[in-house]
Amino acid sequence: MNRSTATLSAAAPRAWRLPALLLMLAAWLGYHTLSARLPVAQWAGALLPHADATLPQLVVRYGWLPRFAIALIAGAALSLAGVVFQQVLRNPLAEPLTLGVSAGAYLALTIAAVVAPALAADLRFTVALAGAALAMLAAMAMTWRKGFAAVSIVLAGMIVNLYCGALSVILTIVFERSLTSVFIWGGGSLVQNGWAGVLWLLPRVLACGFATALLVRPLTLFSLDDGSASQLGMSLKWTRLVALAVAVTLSAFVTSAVGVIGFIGLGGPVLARLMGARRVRDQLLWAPLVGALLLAIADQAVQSLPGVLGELLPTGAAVALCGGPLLLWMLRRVHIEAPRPAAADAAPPRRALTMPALLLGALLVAGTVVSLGFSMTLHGWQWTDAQQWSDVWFWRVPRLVASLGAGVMVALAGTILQRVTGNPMASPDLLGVSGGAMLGMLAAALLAAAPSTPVLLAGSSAGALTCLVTIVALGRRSSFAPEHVLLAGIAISAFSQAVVMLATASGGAYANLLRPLQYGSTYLIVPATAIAVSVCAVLAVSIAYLGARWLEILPLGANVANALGVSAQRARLTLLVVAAVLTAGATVVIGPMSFVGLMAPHLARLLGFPRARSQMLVAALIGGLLMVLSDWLGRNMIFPQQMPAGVIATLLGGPYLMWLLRR
Amino acid sequence: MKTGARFSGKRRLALAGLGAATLTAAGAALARAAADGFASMSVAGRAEGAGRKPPTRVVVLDWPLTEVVLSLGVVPVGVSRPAWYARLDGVPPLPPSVVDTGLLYQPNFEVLAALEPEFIVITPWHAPLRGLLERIAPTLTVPLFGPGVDAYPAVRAATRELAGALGRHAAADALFAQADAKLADARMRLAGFRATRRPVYLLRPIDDRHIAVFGRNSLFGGVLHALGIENAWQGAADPQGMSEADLGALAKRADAQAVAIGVAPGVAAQLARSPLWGALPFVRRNRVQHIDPLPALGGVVASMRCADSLAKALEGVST
Repeated sequence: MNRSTATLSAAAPRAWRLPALLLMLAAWLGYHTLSARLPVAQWAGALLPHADATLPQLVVRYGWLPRFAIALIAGAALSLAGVVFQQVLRNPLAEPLTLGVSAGAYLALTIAAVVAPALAADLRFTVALAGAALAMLAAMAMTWRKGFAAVSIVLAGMIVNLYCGALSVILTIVFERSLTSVFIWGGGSLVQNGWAGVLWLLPRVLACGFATALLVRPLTLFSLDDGSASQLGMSLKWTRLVALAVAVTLSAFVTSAVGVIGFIGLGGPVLARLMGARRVRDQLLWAPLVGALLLAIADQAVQSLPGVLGELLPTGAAVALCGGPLLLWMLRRVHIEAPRPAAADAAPPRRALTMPALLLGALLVAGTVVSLGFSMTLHGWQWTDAQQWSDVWFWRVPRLVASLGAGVMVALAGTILQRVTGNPMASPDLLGVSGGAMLGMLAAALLAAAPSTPVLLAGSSAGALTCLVTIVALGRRSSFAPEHVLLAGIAISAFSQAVVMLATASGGAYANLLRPLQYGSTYLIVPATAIAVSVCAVLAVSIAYLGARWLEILPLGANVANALGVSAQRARLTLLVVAAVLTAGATVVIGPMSFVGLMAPHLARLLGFPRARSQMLVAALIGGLLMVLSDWLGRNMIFPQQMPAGVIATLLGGPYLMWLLRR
Repeated sequence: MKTGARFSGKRRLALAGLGAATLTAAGAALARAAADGFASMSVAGRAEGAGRKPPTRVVVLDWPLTEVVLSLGVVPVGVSRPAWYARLDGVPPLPPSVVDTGLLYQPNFEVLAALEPEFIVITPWHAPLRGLLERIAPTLTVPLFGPGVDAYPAVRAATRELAGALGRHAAADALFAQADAKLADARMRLAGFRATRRPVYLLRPIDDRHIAVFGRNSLFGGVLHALGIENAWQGAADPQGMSEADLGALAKRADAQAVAIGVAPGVAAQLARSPLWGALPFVRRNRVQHIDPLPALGGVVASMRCADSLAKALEGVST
């Protein structure tokens, strides 16, 4: 320990300043909150167990102190897990939240609370742990064939994260009233009422820390590239597996004890590295220390907030609010050396456009007719006759048109993004524009006393635009390198999901209103909106056609593009703006996460349409068809309860995405 | 090269034009949607003002409001998720004939329309749906809970308002008479407890770490006030009058009595194991009374039940 401290200070003479500053801040805040609860003269009585302690002393002994302790332990554990994840996956953005572990645990608890409420109360730790482990296993299963390649595992984790989050929200739409305690837990509350939580968590974290200490040498070798590490006699696959298992267990323990607390696993290691801890063993030592102090500071700061905020805001929420910007700031500075993912597959044979396009068009028409005519009613399944039609058209046509238009727009946006970034995984939801639109809508709903459709629409557009500007600003620094744009988007998506989760986790009347917004406003579509959406969709098709040449050239690379007289940077920027506007329009209708923008272009390519123009046309048809189908299923699946079309599209799209990653 | 530049110039112009067209189209649609909203609002105002035969086919999209409507002797034709009304301990009971209209904030419009209601009752939280609901039937927004709303008087005002809209003045008069009698009875039985001048925490434990406390502007907080008992929780509360407190926050009033509403057996066992719960003054001095589950969000009937339960729980307490 002394040696590493010495080398650390030798490497960076001012390294002690940051932890000292954090320590002072934590101590000052702690003094502040503690003295508000108990006069300094009585502190000794609270610390030392004796029988006749006064009530404030007991509150400190069983409330304040264990809360402080568990903040330190959880912060240290999350940071330690973050270091291991980042080292093994060679990705500075890996941490429990971005790998889907927290979301898995949250989903497991939500399911348990619905299926067996008694079980959920007694076995909370076990249930959450099982969910976290399953989520990580899912992410790992998806990347098994690629030998757990660093980029794909983070991508897989993020997708598990988004999908688990989506499933949780679906459950909460249907079962909201039985899930109050799950919401609180999901918000990352550090409140304690005794030492049981600390005594449960501490030995488990220590055991994991010990296991990590045993892994220091193999972990160090991960600083080399795979080839060199293998030559030094290391089995990469198994070392990675063991190290990941330790880190997952560690983060699952924390998640099950105190709930979803993101970004500490990101912040701790980053600050440790800024302090000058370059070697793995230094990071393993310093990052937990910094992380512990960070979480303690955040928790004390929350406790000293005045009034309602201090009492209602879960610490996890406060941390997440600082964490999103931190993630984006890191993206600006961190250079991510990601191998460009290979194109999905060798180009399948090209086909003549006419027949399949006609066939798809016919399918779309058939789907529309079935969706409008055949539906569940109070008297069971029925074909709607002409007389009933005059009653029901108002409720079916606008939302069908809007869903169709949104499907077309999001499919086009996906095609454009995949071609511009040269990344087969790109799509509007992974770009983060949908997340930004969602955040804007949330802000509008919170600020307006009685949120109406136009207000929500305006908020959503503003959010998408803000998000776009952020991404463009970030992308400009790296000349819109595909990886940077995509990771910035994923960061924003995760941030928006965290914020939404926390906004709804705080409970109360707002939560009931906000939760449904996440899946779009198919309920609130009036003819005017439907017309606006379809006009936008038609315009989108025309614009995309004008950009087809750019889309053909850009995937060949910037040099080729410039040689052909196309300014690569300007073309990219223009196309990104188009894609973002399309996404904003679609998000208002079908919500942030549909995966249609990912699926439609892929299916078009698999059907044999690799050229930009034909791929866009076929993708638009497929996107529309998928959304028409989703809208129909959403209206009839669990009648009379209606699921928004975006939810069904997510349910359909998620498994496809996971299958895609596995290949 | 030259031709390329010319084409790209044209393309840029075309793109700009199309972009402008998109914005115009979207803007016009937005403006129209907003105008529609205002129009439907003014239509609603007129519909409510017009005097005519009281509606009998009523749809209610909220559980507390369902209680209010039922207590006025009107059985709704449709309610959001009727099963939840019973699960939230609603009284009077909902007859099984009532049709499920789907989720609370996403009702199935086709079902609503098929029920051919003459009147729809909603909360302020349904504001985004109001324009569409107006197409089906005249819609009345009734605030029971919300920012700045004191629930106890609001519930009484809402009951009056609904009685007027449903032509049920006599039923409302009878209900209020019954409520006042119950309240007077409870006040009398609680004279002994009032003499102790003890404030009362009204609690509903959520799990072993979080307790929902009823604040001053909650319905049951209002019942306490009407009974002449001080609410021990003077802290902040959310728009529904509830606050989510940790156990330490409940230690501020050492002389307080606690009344726990509908504690689940599992949660009670967890609490019994907690040293901090055991250290709270009202637990240590055995000053916790348990009463049966009540709907935290309810109407006049719920406040009557609360007054009665409080009287039962506290009438023996005189020290």
